[in-house]
Amino acid sequence: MDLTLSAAEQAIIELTAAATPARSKAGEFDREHWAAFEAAGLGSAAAGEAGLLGAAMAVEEGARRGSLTPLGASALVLPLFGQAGLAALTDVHDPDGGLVRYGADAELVVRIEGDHARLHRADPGQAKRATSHHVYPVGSPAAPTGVALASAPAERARARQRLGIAAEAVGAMDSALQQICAYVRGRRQFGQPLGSLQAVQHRLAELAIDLEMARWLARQAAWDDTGASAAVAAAFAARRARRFAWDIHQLAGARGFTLEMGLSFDTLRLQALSVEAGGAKAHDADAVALTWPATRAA
Amino acid sequence: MEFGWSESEAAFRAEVRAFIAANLPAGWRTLVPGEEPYSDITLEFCRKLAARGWFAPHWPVEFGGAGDASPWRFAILSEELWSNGEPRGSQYMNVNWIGPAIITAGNEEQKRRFLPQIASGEMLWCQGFSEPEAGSDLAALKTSARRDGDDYIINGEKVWTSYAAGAHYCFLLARTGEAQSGGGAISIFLVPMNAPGVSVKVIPTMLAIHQIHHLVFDHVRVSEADRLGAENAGWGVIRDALADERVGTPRHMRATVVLDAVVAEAGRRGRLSAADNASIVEARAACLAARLMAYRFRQLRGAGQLEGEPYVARGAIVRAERAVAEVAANLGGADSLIAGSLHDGEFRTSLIAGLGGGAYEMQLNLIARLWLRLPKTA
Repeated sequence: MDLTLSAAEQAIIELTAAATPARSKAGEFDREHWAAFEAAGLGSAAAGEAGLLGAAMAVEEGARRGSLTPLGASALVLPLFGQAGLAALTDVHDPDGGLVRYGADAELVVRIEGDHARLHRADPGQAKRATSHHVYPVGSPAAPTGVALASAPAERARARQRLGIAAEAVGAMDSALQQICAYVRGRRQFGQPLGSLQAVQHRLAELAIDLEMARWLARQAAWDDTGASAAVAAAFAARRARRFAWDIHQLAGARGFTLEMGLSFDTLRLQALSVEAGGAKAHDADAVALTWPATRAA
Repeated sequence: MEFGWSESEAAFRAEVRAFIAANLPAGWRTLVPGEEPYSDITLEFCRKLAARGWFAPHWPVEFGGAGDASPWRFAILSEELWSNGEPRGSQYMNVNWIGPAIITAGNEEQKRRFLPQIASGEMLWCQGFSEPEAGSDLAALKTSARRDGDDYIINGEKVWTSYAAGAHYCFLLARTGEAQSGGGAISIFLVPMNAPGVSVKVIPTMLAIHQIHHLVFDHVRVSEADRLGAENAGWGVIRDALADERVGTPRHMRATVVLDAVVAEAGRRGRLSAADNASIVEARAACLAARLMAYRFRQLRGAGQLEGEPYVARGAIVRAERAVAEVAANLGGADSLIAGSLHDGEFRTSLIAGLGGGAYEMQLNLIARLWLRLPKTA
């Protein structure tokens, strides 16, 4: 047991920070960040010295810095297939019709088909881009043609996807909490900083507890690399992601809605992460089934 | 980072489990920690632990410990004991922070007088902190220790005190200076509970699983040798000690045992539905997160690098108790009203969780100030 950063983990976080000098432009896949990730070998980080945990930390750090790239799918899911590249992940049984983050940008698509996850090459030119104001670019990849490049058990792909959701939500929650704390330190109402009011302080302290809980659950899940741990971490993060959006906007007042303040860059991402892969409801069902396999819900 | 245990740590946990299984009567596992603070069973168990060198492994050898530099053996021990009804009774407190406070602040004579007896599991303590007018605002305490030559005369009352009826000594906070000087004028006294003028009464409560007491100190004479640390310097000692009191008790481990048991029982009885998933996963997540955050606290504390970690960890521990109590009540239904049931015990102990070692809201205040760097409240 050692819950301090190793040198390799520290290095991967610093590499991620160096590759993401500024927040990405909302709504667009950030090709510059991606090129820097690829140059630094982060696109397939799970194979590196820092392992899956290091890769998850890179995803967390990238999200904290507001980087819009599919690092989660690429660095956490693709290694299951022995591949590297620009990836998105869809579920053919998804009632939303395969609409996913980076779905129209990806060159590789992992399709969960029942018990199997299959990796296909995708042509971004054939994909359908959707209109969304949730910061991430979203779209539906074109249906694959030809045979799959590789396959893996669906539950492994699902676990890695959930790990990515959890780590990314932690990064976005961290960024949002830092922003709102800076705001309430400076914003004066009733002749005093908002942040000196206990009603505000307690609400933010509760969020700080939530954030640390989500962070440690995500890291443990990366260490365990099991379906149960990933489902618990994703369920917790997905529920907190939405609560963060509400609480933080409440404290920011109407100014929080302005693009100038930039808070919505995090809160809208959090809302998107909270519904991904079926949202907390789907993560919960798997978390219970995988944690207590002998127990069947009626 | 490394979330796994070394071979020797895993072997130690297995040894502790085997020891507990061999030395505790059936049924102990279902007791709520603190329910039997000083029965013959706990006293005997502590002596056996001490004989095994496991009572205070993290203490220096010269004071009866094993001199463990790593925090993990003691963490493992605490987890296993707390998961099994805490067979140390009230004495977990002695090794968590009372002994360490004496090691830090005591003089040689006090170390000789108290530490060997604490380390051998022979000495019982209570903490004389809260007063009728000083709960969360502990620095407002009024119990006074007035100088009388080389002695002090103590007058005042302490309330809601756990473990007092069986205690040999009280770790007492008293005011040795003017009331307006807050935390600055408080000293610590190690007061024998059989000193003339000390009286103890049980306070009737709704808790059922835990007793609390009312202590009166009526012209109790103690000597300078009973004062721990310098006069008026008690606040710093207890601030440090309370960090361990808040996070050193792995309540989340007991909560995890209860969660597993109530989910399994509900499954057997066909009482589990998909509608329960969210609350069950919340409880599971809170128990896991609290455990990791308590580890993080222990590791940073050992390295002297603490910031707000004790308070966020404590927050997670309280959340874990409440989340498991919610699941227990939901799944248990009317059965959760039965006295002595796991469900009922969890509800009651979850009420204590948010107050013991300092109210949850005080932790939120400290997180706001020390972790989020928010401005002082007006």
